[in-house]
Formats: sequence, C-alpha cells, structure tokens
Amino acid sequence: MISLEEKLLVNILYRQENEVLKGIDPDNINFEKLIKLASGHLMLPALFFNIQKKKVSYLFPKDFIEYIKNIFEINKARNRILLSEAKELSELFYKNNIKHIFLKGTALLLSNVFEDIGERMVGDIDFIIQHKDEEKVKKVLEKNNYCTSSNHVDLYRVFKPKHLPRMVNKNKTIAIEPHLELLSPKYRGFFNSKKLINTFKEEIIAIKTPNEPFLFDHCIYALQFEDKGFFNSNHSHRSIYDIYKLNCKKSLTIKNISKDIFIKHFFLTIAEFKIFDIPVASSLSSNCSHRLLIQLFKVSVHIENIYVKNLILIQLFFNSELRGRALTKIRIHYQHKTLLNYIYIWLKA
Amino acid sequence: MNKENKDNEEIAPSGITRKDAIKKMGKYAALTALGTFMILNPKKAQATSASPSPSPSPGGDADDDTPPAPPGWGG
Repeated sequence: MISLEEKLLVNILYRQENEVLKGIDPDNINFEKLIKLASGHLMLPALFFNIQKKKVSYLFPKDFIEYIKNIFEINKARNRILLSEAKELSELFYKNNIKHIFLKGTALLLSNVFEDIGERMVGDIDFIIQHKDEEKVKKVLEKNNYCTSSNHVDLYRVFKPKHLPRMVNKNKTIAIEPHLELLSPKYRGFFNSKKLINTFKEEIIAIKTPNEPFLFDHCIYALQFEDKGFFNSNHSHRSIYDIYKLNCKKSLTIKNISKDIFIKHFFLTIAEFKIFDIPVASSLSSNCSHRLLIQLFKVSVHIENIYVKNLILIQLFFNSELRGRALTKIRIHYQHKTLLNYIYIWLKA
Repeated sequence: MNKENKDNEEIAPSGITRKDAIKKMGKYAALTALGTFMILNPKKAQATSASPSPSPSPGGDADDDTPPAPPGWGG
C-alpha cells in the first residue's frame, strides 16, 4: 500500500502538472511525513525543483516551500563545488597519465542528465581507475594532500576491493572514492569493469564519463546488489529518478529487460507507482526461478559474512592496529557478554 | 542526568542550544533524515561513511513514521 505522501512525491517527480493530485485528497497530506519520506530518499532538492517546474507550490505551506528551497540552494552550491573539484582531479590525473572514468552521481551531473545541477544529492566524487594504476593513483593523491580517514586500518586483501578507502583533502570540500571495480567481488560475475574496457582504451581526455546505457545498468545493479534491492525489494526514489532522467526507454539495455532478471526485478518492484510505461510480465516459472535465485544469493551472502568475520579474526593476531580498534569497540559492552569478556581480556593482555 | 544538565551540555560554541537551533531552522529540520544533512555538510560527510538515515526500515511504508533508509548514499 502506497502512502498518500509517497503518491504525492511520485506524482510531483514523474507526472505532468495536471496529474499532480491524481488519486490524492490534498487535505489529508501530512507534510511532516512528506519531509521524512523525501529526505530519507535524499529527494528534497528534486522535490523542490519539480514543485517549481510544475508550478504547484500553492499546494504546500509557505514554510515547507521555504525550507526545501533552502535545501535545494545549499545542494546546488555544493554540487557546483563538486563539479569544479572533479574537474581539478581529472586534470591532475591527466597530467600524470592516469586513465579514469567518473561514476555514479558525479558522472550523472557531468553528463548533464539533470535539468538543474541542484536536483541530485551526491555524497562524494566516485571514479574508476585501472587495476594497474592503483599504486600510482595512491602516490599522486597522497602527494596532493589527499589522505584516508584516521580510523582506517589496512586489511589483508583476497580480492580487489570495490574501491580504495574514501579519501579527503583538507583544502577541498568533497571526499573522493577511487574505484577499482564497480561492485563487490561476489557480484562481479554479473556486472564488472570489463564493460568499461573499451572506454579505457580510448585516448586520455580530461573529463570522461560512461555512456548512458552503462550509467543505467550501473544504477540498477548497484541498487539490486550493493543496496540489497534484489533480496528485500526495497526501492530508492533517488535511483528511480536517475533511471527516469536517463531516459531509459531510449537506452539499448532496456531491450534486455525480459532476459535480465535484475533489471526486471527493479521494474517489478516499482510497478505499483506506474512511472514507466514498460510492460513487465511475471510468469509462474520466472517467479519460481526468481525466488530460487534470491535464496541462493542469501546463502552466498551468509557464507561470505562468515568468511569475512573469520578473516578479520585471523588478522587480529597479526595486526596490532586492528587489535587496538577492536579493543576500543568492545570496551563499553564487554562486561555484559561472556564471549566479549574473553576477547577483551585476550586483547588487553 | 536530568534534562536541564543535558540541555546545558548541548550548548554549541556559537552559544545556541540544539533546541534553539531547531527552532531557528523550523520544525521541518527536526524531521529531516540525517543523510540529507550529512551530504549537505561536506566536512561531516567527508569524515564518515555511515548510513544517512536513522531508520533501519526501508521502502517508505504507509504506516511507518520513520524515514526509509536510502541505499548507498555515496554516489
């Protein structure tokens, strides 16, 4: 069941001006609930932009509009800084002969997917580099005052991580995340950086972003795997809005919708909103295979969790920094749990 | 710890309490998911990579008053 507030959010974001109140009694809207919902999905700036664009601000209290206008303007100013810092970073890599491609929110902003740069909330600057450039990139970034957060501990790596630790620069505003891959190791069989090989082969240019079909795929796979959308059928209005703005109907990959279970699942999850006019049929056999796949994934995630925990426990023996961090973490609770008590005594020794 | 002490502790270097700050920003600020502020305040966003939403329940349920947990908010 979709709440009234979510119906309104969907109507404002995706429908024409004359359809904003479709199926909604404006007297029953709880604006506080709408703020909670839209901010939880990081959609307050997009909400303001669309209210202005569709000229429906008369439906909202003045202080509500004033508040989301402020959020939109702060976000727009921040995104201007983000774009300028992304360009500076790109020039730095260009000078050092490092091939790189911007990803996610930064790529969407650089590709002018949105009508206004204030619409999209972006946390950090994501970009992908080639595996062979990992050490070179670390050196270049360190030389240019980028550093990882103080509580970062280097762990032994079995697979290439999705990205290097998040890095900040005290002279810059936005944090950066240099990716080595697009998804975590267990999901790379479905979607990986090989898709970008041809883009990497091209000549180095200062600002490079993937094409729209790639951005479309990355958005959906990241939501389905990393954010567990495939397992718990969560939806994210930020991702839906990205797909909407990427004009997915024109995207070549949409032709694979019936073949690709993950893309299909994305559209099935949001079918109740009736945003995209895409027929997504769900047969009995596909439902069964879908459920089986979800169960298999849950088992694989469980196995991986056990594996990671064991790996960390083994590393506790060899890494004093990690031991110090673990000691700090359990210091507060160790008295209440026997096992923690043992670990605490062992770590302290 | 009584409430008075708690309020006193929350006085920021700027001289206003958390309560005053929320009053100044309006009632909607108090209802806004933490993730939105984390992104808008770059220094805070730089320092952390934690989930932005105080709520563990995703999806924006009709009967759920807490904001949904957005997916990976980094990008």
